Amino acid sequence: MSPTNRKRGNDGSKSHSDASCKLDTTMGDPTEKQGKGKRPLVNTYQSAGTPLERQRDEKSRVLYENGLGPSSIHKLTDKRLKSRLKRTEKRYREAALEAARFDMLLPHEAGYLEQEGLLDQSWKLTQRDMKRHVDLQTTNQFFHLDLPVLGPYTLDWARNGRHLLLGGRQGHVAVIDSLRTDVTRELHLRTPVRDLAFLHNEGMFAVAQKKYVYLYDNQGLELHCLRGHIDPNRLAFLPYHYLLASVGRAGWLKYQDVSTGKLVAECNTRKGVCLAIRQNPFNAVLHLGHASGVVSLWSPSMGQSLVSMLCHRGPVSGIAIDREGRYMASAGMDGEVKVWDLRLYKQLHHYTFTTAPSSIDISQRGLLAVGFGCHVTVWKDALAQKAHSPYVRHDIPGNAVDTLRFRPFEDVLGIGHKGGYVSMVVPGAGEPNFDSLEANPFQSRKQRREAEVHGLLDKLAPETITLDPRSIGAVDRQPDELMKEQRDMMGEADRRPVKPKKEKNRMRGKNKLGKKLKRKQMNVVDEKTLILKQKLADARKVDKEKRAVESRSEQVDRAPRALKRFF
Amino acid sequence: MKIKTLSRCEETFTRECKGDVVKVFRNLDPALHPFDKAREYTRALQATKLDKLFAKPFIGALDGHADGVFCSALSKRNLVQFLTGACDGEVRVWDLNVRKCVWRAYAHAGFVRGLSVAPGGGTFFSCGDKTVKQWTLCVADDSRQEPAALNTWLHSETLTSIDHHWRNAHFATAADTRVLVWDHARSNPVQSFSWGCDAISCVRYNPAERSLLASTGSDRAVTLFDTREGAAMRKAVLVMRSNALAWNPQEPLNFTVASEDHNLYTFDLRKLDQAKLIHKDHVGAVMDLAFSPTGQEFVTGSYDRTVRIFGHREGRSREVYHTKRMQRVFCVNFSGDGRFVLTGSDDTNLRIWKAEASQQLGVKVPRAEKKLEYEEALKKRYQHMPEVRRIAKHRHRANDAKLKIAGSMQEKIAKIVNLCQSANRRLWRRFHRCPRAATHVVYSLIFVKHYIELERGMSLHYIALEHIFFKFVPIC
Repeated sequence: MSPTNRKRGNDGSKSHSDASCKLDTTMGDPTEKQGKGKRPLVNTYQSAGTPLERQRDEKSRVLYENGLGPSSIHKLTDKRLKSRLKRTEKRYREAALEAARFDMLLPHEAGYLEQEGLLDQSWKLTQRDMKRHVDLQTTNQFFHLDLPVLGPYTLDWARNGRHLLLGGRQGHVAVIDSLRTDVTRELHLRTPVRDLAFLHNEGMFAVAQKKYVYLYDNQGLELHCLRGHIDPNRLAFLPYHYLLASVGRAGWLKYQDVSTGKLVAECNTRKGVCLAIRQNPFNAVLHLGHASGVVSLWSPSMGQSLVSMLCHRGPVSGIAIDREGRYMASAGMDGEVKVWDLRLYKQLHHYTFTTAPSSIDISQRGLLAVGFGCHVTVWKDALAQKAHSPYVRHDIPGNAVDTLRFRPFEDVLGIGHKGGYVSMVVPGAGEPNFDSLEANPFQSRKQRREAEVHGLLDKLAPETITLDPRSIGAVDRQPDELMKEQRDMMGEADRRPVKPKKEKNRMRGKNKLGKKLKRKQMNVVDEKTLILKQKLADARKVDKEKRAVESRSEQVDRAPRALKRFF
Repeated sequence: MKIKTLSRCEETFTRECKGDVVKVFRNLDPALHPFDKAREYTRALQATKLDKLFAKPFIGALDGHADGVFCSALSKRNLVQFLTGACDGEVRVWDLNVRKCVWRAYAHAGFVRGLSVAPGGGTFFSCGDKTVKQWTLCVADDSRQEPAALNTWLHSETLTSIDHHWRNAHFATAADTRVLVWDHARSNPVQSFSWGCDAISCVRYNPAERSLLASTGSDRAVTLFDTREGAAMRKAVLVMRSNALAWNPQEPLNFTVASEDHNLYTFDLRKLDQAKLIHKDHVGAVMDLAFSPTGQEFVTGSYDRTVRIFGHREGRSREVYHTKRMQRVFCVNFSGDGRFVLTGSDDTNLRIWKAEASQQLGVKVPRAEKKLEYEEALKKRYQHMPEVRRIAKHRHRANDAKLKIAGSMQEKIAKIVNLCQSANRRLWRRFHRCPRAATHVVYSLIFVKHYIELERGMSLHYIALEHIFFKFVPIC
């Protein structure tokens, strides 16, 4: 099966049924199958005939019934357990169907750019043309900030897409409320700002400065200086784990728990300087792009990289991952952007650019934005298949692009460049329907506080970061012997005695004159010593005899009355 | 070229003024909810931990008896009336609402052996020494004068247990080796049953089949009687004697007996040859048990100074209650609403416990109730995860060491007893031939005792002694 076929969506459903068939043949007992040929092995929902309903059922199975594969309940012999499992499974399937039905009720539609004639090309449409055709509110999104002195600028969006964090390399940091188009706070740090990241909400952010990582609140107050993070280059924040990760010039990846302040893990990547870091939103694994062209995947519970793949023939300058964790796009100094399938770790296709791309991002709805030189191009449907022409483009003459980030839940691409910031509108980039309980762009203060408390209560342990997050709460299907072997190994490691710390050989003062003389006198055997030794030996002998007699009488005393006659 | 971009008007997503309902928008797309399983698991773990944090089951003690509390009864008509009988013959009626004694009388010369409330709820019966007395049951009455019994029934033998019929004006008592059925209007028993030659300790009417009686006795038997037939029906002989018996109120085919061998046995009355389930966990003889009105669980009190709650289909207890000062537990009761457990023990105190240790008393707002429901579902869903299970199962037991010793002792004794059993059978046969063999039994007893002493380096545990003597007494 080619990797492109494994995508979810129209052809994804097909691949799902393929997979389920495969599972059946491996799991089911062939003899039983022959015996009961009529029994459907996959518990499918019998839907009514209308195509809409069938489509909905298909969708519910593909999208929502995560891990609900073909069941083997019918093999069980315990009636009570069987009926209970059947009931549970039925409930799950009903919930999945309900969720699929709920999709129709979603109030908003995504943006689009539709061509009308044959010669109509969407990439020819400039931002200025676009501004003339969109509604009044969207026109507010076309703007640029000229900040020629303290650039180039890097940026980060808060998780709900409302606040923007802007950082100039020369030490200029600004927090901007994008809803009100208002600068909430501006700072001049007077040290190089290499990267910045919002923490769990817009209330706090981290800045990678010249020497350490610093935490600030939205009032611009310095809260902490994280001295464990030395010479940081890039930052990433894992919102569900409350982990702030930084990677520096020396190639050390450090995870800090911002809720407890503990340094959770320090990993030496051993690959030198790292210029790109990005988290996989699906499993919270960090992807690091190294100067050698290698992209390595990291989790705090492992001292080595989970995966490392050679992606480019030159330093990796940018990484982007789609929100479902299927595709990774990597940009290299070799002038290429490559798209990878993250389940097979294989390259799907690549795009070549005249100038080396400096930054790259994937929007919520899967648009790929690439910044190279002073140009920005956005590609649609560029992940699963190769797109042949860009979707939208924009140039910033004379200013090299530094960072690109799509704004969550909006059709906006934020571009930080040498001379400031540009807000560009890309129709169809953002998710139209947000979930208020997950990320709410219109959050009130009270809601924010509540979300913060709930977020902290639901904080995930750093050890749970794995390549497959669905393994938590699922049945471990490893063979029994293998599990037993693992358990034994763990037990053995626990029982292994801890090596005592070797005491330092302190030599200081040993060769003093007085000590030397004393040492010389230590082993001299003369008459006096012999007498002393004899005395000591005699005393020991007497003592031993005395003790033997005492212990015997004591034993007799201690014995129960009925048994005394045996002594 | 057609263009459409997302543009949201703030007014549609926020409420107009403070009094309005907060607008919530949902999108169930799994891509918007990463780590849903992991977060759910974390929530389940937190809920389990919180459960432990709030687990404070002890509510209060009812103080007043001058001697150990021996028996108790609850009215089936009233939630607040609670009756207790002590070892000095005093009977007290308590108002559970205000936790006060409202009525008391020295009803009997010796122990009060049993209490039972008449189905109407207006009177109750107490039994002790050789009499049964009927009293008026009234919580509101606060008169201080010494109350007199309405009726008294006299018998020639000691009466050890009483249970009132669920509807008629009948009650049954255990009198030495016989089960007697009395009529309110007659001074002599109307029926008498016996099967076996040992003392009967507990009699209980079946709640559904109203002419069915079950009794337990020191001949190790559980016997069923039918009052219509006028004869005993069936009998099951257990390994050791049973102290108490209770019918499941919702599944009246089943009953559970509290045995001296530290276990409880649930039987189906149609199949007495084999217990349906054995409930283990106590490390001392089980003295009493009582079912919850839902029939889903029952509470037991034991000689090991603990109270345990078992699910009716669970082999192991789900909860254990103990305090530093609580002595041997003689009587237990589930409150009429199933939310509380009442225990009476040797230390003269009555204790009130929550049936669910972390249950929140008082009125809950709907939001809190919803949250609790959600947490309950989560805990149930993730109950088999190792971390959740470990936390949920953990119990703090101050006398853990003692219990462990007792537990290991129990195992050891069982082993020795097993070893000796075959030898004893031989001795038993020889005893019939020649009475001198009895001395061998005594010797073997001494041997067992010393063996244990040497093993443990300490004197025998009380329970263990009892255990051994019981095994050997019929042989001697």
